[in-house]
Amino acid sequence: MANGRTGDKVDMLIIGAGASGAAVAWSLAETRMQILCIEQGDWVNPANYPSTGRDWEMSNQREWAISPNVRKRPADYPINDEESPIAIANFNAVGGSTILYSSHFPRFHPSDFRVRSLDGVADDWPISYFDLEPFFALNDCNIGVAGLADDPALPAHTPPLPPVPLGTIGETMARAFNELGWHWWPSDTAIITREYEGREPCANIGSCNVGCPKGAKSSADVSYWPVALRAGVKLKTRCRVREITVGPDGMATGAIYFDEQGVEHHQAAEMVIVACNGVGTPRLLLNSKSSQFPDGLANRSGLVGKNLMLHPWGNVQGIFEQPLDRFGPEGSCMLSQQFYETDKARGFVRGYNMQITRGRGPVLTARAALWRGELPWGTDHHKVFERLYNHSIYLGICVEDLPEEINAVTLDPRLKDAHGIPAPKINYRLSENSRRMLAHGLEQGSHVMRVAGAIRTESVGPIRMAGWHLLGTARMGNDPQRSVVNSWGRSHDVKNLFVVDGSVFVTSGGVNPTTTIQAVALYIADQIKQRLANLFD
Amino acid sequence: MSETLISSDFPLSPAMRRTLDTVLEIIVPADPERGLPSARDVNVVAYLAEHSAGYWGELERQLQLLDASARRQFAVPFAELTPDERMRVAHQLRSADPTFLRRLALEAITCYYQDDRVMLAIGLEPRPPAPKGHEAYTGDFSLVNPVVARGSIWRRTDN
Repeated sequence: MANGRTGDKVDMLIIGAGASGAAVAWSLAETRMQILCIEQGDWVNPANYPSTGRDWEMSNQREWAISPNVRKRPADYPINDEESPIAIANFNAVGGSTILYSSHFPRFHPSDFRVRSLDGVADDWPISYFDLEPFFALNDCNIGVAGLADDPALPAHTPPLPPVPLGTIGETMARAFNELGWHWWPSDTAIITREYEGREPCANIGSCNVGCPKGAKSSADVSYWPVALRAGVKLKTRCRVREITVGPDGMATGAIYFDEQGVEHHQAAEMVIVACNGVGTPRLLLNSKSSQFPDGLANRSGLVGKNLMLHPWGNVQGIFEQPLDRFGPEGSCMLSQQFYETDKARGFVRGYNMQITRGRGPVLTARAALWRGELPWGTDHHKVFERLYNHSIYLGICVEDLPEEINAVTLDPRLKDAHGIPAPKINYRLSENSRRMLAHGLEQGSHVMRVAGAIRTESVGPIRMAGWHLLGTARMGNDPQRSVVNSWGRSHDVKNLFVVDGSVFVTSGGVNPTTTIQAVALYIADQIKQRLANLFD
Repeated sequence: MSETLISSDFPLSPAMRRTLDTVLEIIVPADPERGLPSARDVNVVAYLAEHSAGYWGELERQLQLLDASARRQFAVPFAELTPDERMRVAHQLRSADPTFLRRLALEAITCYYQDDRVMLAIGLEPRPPAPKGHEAYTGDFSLVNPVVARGSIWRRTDN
């Protein structure tokens, strides 16, 4: 039991203030219930983002690294990902991993929710794209999504803001895609391209992946949280939850957490909403053991932590004779979904997204070239650098990862965080389907680069430091034997416990998942509001 | 980045400092035509002190290897070799061990491409990207017209 005082009981306790926790808090605020969110990280001061300093390009290998094992901030917990070819990425703060995301914001497709029916693999979701469609639109408006209306690869939708710049990079690739007759489209992007809801537009600082000092990137701390707090939601930062507690009736009673001084408290709550992402959520549930739930809370199915999906990632660099501009949002420019839907003649099922990103700054251009032996010492250094800097386009391949129970988050028997809480361990390997898909993507990516005029291409994948998308470890479904939560996010086993993050995903789609995570969170919040009278029946 | 280190704090002997300066000159030499200084002319030592303080021991050992190799082959320290001889000695050691002085080279170019003179010479304003940002070329969005003309491609589902 906790040593500290028990806080006043709240109606709703949200654990985690990232993409999904913020969206749920915003939506539920209109209930006027007492809502408290507990977050292990702190607010990030935009003035401290590295792009206000000269050494900003190196910050992603230090205190702004995407791996908590590299970053090692006080808010971070270690993750044993040695038995995975893909390392886990996250960020622990108000806003969560959206602090470092590229804000490339494509939606899942309708087919992503029906993979069993269409392709005979994995499982269908218990909800459809069309159930989520109003919540995609709501999310677009809440955070201010930039894009071009009516992408033919999706059901029609209209982002509220004009798209981010294509630049010469986008134009170069657009002409190549057109020459091949392939789909491409300006990316939906979670970046303000005009003044929006009091926020200033993007200034093309170009350092999105280490935080946006202008607040133009719609991380959850600058989009959802200010509104949720004004609406009465309370947020406690630098408080790490150890476990969710249950009463004799098997219902959740709240959570035990450590405050910033390391003092244990119990926060009582009528209901608990978990929003800690696809690694943090199963870690918390597995750490919440009791006589009623000896294998972890909400885990009578045995599926908590299983079916981890990570989106194996590949990258193609094209090097061009002509100079290219690189200013604009770093990771978001345009995409191609030519190979998104299944064509079994390709030798795999499902598909992938191609994400065009802009070139690197001078430091990372030089370091990468030196590392691979391309940038020489001596008088030729400058000549080679000139040929590389502002002469590159990058194309990311985001491969749909199908769920497999052997890919899992468990508790490491030895590794613990600063509070002595067991840390997560990742066991993951790529399926043959994913390998084939990635190989296809790298080949097609190189092809379109050459058509675009690249004089040379470099392909690599799977990239180890690319486990940004953490999905599937508390999957939703109608069958309590085959899923952890029901179709509206409520635990099958604990009727006042909800999961709202990417853990509930049944499949991974082949795109960056944040907009779909937030649409699902808003959908679940809406279901909670509609069912308040008999929520726990 | 820090200012120049106080001399009494400098972790290398004067002889090793000369070797370091010489090797920095061959990693990235000056290029007057492009208006570019050498890596010796930017403050690599302060950068190392700020970001790689634990590296001095390894660096000193590797600089001593350079010197020893120069003395063995040419009977003078590395800093007194001709430019061609310096490059040859460094190349021999790097060929035998590809990690030889790689960290120094990485840190040197990291510092180098943040220097005002270098940023100006490669077409950048000498400043961090924030808060001013950059002008970006919007591009021609009418390039989507052929994509639109091909029509919808998303896969239909029952619901």
